[in-house]
Amino acid sequence: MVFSSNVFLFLFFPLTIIAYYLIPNIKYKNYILLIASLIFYAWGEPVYIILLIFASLSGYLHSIFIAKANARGNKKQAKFLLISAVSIGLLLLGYFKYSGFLINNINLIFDVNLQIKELPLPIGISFFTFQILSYVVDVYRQEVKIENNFLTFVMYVAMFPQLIAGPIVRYSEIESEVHKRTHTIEKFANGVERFIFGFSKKLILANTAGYVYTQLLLDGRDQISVIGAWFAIIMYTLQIYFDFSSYSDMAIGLSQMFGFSTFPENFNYPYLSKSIGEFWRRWHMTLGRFFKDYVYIPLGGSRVSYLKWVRNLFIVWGLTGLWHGAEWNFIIWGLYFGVIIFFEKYFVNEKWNSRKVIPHVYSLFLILIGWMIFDATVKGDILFRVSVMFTAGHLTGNVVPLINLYSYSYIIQNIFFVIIGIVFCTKMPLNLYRKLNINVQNIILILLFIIAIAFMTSSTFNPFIYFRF
Amino acid sequence: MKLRIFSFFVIISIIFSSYFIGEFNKKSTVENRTLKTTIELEEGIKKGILDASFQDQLEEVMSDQIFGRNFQVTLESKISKAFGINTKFYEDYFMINDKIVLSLSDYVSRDDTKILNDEFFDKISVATDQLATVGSDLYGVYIYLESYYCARDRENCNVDIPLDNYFILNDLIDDEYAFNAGDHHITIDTQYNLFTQYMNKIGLSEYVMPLDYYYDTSFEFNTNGSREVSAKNAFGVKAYEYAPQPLVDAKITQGKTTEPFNNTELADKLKENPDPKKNSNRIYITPGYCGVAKQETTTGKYFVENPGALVDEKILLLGDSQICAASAFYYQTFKEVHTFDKRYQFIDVVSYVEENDIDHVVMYGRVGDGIDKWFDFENGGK
Repeated sequence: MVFSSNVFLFLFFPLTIIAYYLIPNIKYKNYILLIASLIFYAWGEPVYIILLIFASLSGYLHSIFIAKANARGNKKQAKFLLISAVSIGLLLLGYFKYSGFLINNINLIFDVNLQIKELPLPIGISFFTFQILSYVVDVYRQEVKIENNFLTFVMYVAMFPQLIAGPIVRYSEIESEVHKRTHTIEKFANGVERFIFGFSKKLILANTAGYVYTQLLLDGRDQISVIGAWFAIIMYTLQIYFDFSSYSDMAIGLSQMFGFSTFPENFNYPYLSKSIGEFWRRWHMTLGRFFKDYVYIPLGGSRVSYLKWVRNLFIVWGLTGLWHGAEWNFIIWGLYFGVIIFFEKYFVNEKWNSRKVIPHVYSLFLILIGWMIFDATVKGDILFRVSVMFTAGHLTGNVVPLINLYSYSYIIQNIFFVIIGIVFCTKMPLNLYRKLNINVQNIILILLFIIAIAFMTSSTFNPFIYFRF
Repeated sequence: MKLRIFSFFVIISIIFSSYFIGEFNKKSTVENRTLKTTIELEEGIKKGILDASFQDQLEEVMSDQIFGRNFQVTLESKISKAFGINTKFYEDYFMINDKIVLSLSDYVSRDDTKILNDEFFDKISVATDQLATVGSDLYGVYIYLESYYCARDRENCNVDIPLDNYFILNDLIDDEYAFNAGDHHITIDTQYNLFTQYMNKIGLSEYVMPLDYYYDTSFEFNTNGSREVSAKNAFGVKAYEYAPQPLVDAKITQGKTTEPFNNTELADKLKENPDPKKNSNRIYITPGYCGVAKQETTTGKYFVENPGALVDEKILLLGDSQICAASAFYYQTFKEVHTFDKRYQFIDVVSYVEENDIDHVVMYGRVGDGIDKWFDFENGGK
């Protein structure tokens, strides 16, 4: 189920919120959230609910035994249990997400013909696996108390606002609110506002940008031109930001409506960054934080020898790429940022950040190239795109014009939208909105909501990009 | 704060409760398509839930039956247009003249649907051996009526299709988004709309007559479809349009031959039948006289002269075969209408315009059809 669907907005959500607020006790409220979350998850792929529960059960049991081992001071046993829990989690993730990729590459490299049953990717597996692992590791580190109630633990893992596209919420962040949280008008109203922002961002901005990108570079591949390809990548850059950040907005908004106030932010205007390092501190912040705290720092981070630091850097960025998908383009994409961040160590400093234009141009250019790689999932697509964008097709022998009518038409037709999109990547619209009278804000919100519903009704093009992760 | 929450839930509640009040709408008047009203599960609800087909259909029903659907679709269209959002351009017909680009994104259709059904076959008078039978590979594949007739033997297909069949078809037609898609290839309503917009743009709006004028003063009738279409998502192949063609005192030059433009025989034939234009659900029959120069059939020139035209100027229409349908309006208006099919006729437009004293050049096309190749945009739009 997606947030931007009629079933969610006009059936699932009202019924859930009514049931939730009819029950006074927080324990039973959590059960309502649990049931709703399981229905939410099962909506598209009922079978995988078993996987979700199994993964949760594994994390839950391991954490209990780890806590007991810690209490006894048996570090060896605790570590063994930790390795077991992490292995099971990663094996599940590996089997469902990466086994096909692995087998294909083995077949290719060793010229064999190993077969594996093609399974659909369980929605949100990367997100809920990481949440479970973060909890188990935190229990091992004794940074959080264990959750004794399995149902409450599953509620944390499966909580529908963040289940399938994040943000990756650590148990420590919501631990206190799981058992005791306040429900206030103000919190609820803020949740409504955040949800509407995300909802309209998704329906109006992300889908539009996505459609134009698809028509220009995917469906219109045979009619591509140099400028058309660049325009398409700009559209994709807008789409992926609006798409993913809108989901986080809706997730945080919904969590507030259910009384949670500590869901972490996932985006902080990433396209305003002055370096790629800064971009990754502003983009998908909960994922970056996960890799930093659970991979990079345990490996020694930067407080190790130069070579080990380089190794750590590329392990983290390789994994970041791989997390996004079982395709080479994702791995290349991750390593691409690893290389850039490696070099940024040598020139991104206070002097660099004091400049106004060059750092932004530099960052946006590299971000655009990054997205060009990121979405090149078809074999040979990266080369094709590089060839078109940088050599007008000469590199691959399929020469394309600088501009053609097909591209020109799309650019002219959507240029105003691009300007709007760029403006909405900055803080300006929200700052202006905040300066308005509360009644005007309410009117804007309601109009936005109505318009976004109209876009939802009219649109059949509604995929959330991050669901595949 | 309270007002915000209240308003949010009022909107949700209105839509939520509307699903339980009143009857479901069966047809969208704005989109001209059948709306989904029920969930149909072939293998029962349990299987339907497990394979998620129940969920998918529920979403479809809820989306189709949402409160104020027509208003919402219209609102989205207007807002998108106002803010320059154009996501439909790929499927968009447009016409171009110098710096004018007229877009038809408001009028184009979405996916094509098959227009024939069993009920139709029960009613039409046609030898069954001429039709693709139910269950055969060809059944349901073709969209044009003619294609059904010729499905068995396309090589020797010379079947006289009774006119009544078109009217029966018309009664049964329940086509999605059929407003402006037809053969050839956008309907006359849309052609007229384009024509009107174009005339407005070039300052000749005073010569645009009401649509009925063109129907009343002229038309040729023919039932030849241009092609069989089996491709999914093909544009403009939903239905038939009858196109007005001029019954003016005109002459046609085709290559080196010039002859009177005479279609009275067909016009008489039409007069014997009910007037399709008065049918509220207008029948779509392909326009007949498709006068477009093609390299393999002519020596490179095709135009119609109309001494009684409203405007003493010459116009050149470039495009694919759909300009046949468009040309009807221009025949009535311009002294000379030249038509070229750019797929076959690789003329040097600049030279042609100079040699023939052409006053206006209009290009018709669809973005998705690779119009760049026709327009030669890369070389400066020659």
